Amino acid sequence: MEFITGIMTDIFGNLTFIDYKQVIMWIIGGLLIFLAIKKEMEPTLLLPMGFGAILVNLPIPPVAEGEAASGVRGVIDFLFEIGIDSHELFPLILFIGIGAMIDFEPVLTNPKLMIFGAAAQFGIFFTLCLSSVFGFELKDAASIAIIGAADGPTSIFVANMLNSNYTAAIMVAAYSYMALVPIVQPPIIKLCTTKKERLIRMNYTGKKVSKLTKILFPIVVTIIVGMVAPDATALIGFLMFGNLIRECGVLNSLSETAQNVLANLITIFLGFTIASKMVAEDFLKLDTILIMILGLVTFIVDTFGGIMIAKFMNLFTKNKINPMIGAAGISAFPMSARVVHKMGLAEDNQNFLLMHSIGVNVSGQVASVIAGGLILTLVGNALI
Amino acid sequence: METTIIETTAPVAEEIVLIAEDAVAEVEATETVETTRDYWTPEGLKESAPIMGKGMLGIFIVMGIVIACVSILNNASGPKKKKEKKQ
Repeated sequence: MEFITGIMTDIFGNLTFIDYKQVIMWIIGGLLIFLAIKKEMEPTLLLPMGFGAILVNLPIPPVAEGEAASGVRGVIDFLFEIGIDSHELFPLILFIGIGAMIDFEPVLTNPKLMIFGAAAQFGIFFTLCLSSVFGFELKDAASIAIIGAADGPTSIFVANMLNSNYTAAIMVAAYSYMALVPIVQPPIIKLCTTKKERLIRMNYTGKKVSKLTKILFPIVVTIIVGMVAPDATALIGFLMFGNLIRECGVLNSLSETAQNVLANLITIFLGFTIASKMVAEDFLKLDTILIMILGLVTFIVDTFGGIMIAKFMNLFTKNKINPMIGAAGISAFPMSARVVHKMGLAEDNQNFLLMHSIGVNVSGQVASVIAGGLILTLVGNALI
Repeated sequence: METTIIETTAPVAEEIVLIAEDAVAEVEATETVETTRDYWTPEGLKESAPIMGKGMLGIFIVMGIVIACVSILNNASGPKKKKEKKQ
């Protein structure tokens, strides 16, 4: 009998370390996997995140103080340390891939679209104020606000640079809401626009942009942003470097690698690494729920800001703008542009807004990085 | 001899007790801060509102500069198009 008890203790001894919070995290992990597979929401990221969340919440004997974690926790902690904690390596390398994916032509043909990208960052600063009213420290409030950048790498970069206490919740919120853009945005857009406004047709001139302009654009933007918001130099630099690879015309295979293989590979590691911060004790807190709510608010206000600037511009312009395209300034590339395009077609099947919304969308991408840099600079100055 | 030892170790023991008390007080203070985080602090606006103003203004200024640069770049490559049209 003792022999059997001994064997059972050896095999199932770990079960004594199970906590109900860990079970909740398994359910959350399962939900992320479900959303990734069944709903196809950001599967490249939500799948590794969901699996990682289960993995890091398995009943592993607690590690003694001062002793380094071993096994799976050790590996994931190591990935976090080298990939995010030390020099934000993963988000920055991912930006090379994203930069290589982006075609700036729609915005280069109509640079005025960049105004929408700027306006759609309003949610970030609104949420900064709201978070500080809800008692978060300024560094945490700023990190929560940057969820509104609708851009995972920027959120990770800023939260990590500001040494936020809520990095895990912020990462999860940022990526979850990016995936939920097709659900979050349409009701807000409908609420902020009239049927008449949604029916406004916009002609796309489709004028050609010279190759020289396409090559110089990433370089010029890097120099401008680097001078104004030095803290965003790494982000904008890697993003624009990726775009330069795409546009130079002599590195096509490298561009394809950056867009596909590199981006996918880094996304896998990033998802797993983010999951390392989804440990039950740190994640299941009232503040996490509050951060999720604030993340939703920032997406809503971003959408509102973009739409309102379009309405405002319509007061003065002869060629009316469909205010829906302002919502694409939220940056979540390219989901937001697709949402606007689909909504335009739903109202009028001959209203093709894709090129305009893509233009606004890529402007939002640049604007969100600038917003991240400005947050780092301004909050950094306030904290000194 | 024994008396001497007690006399010399007593102040040290008192010091250790004081240090331990300070440490306990510090831990208690930290715990109090963590558990009693105020969830409603409107005064936080004083610090964050100026950042909002400066941030939004900053974004529009930077984007304005980028728009100007792109327009210049587009115009600089304009004459080439005219030549093509003439041809």
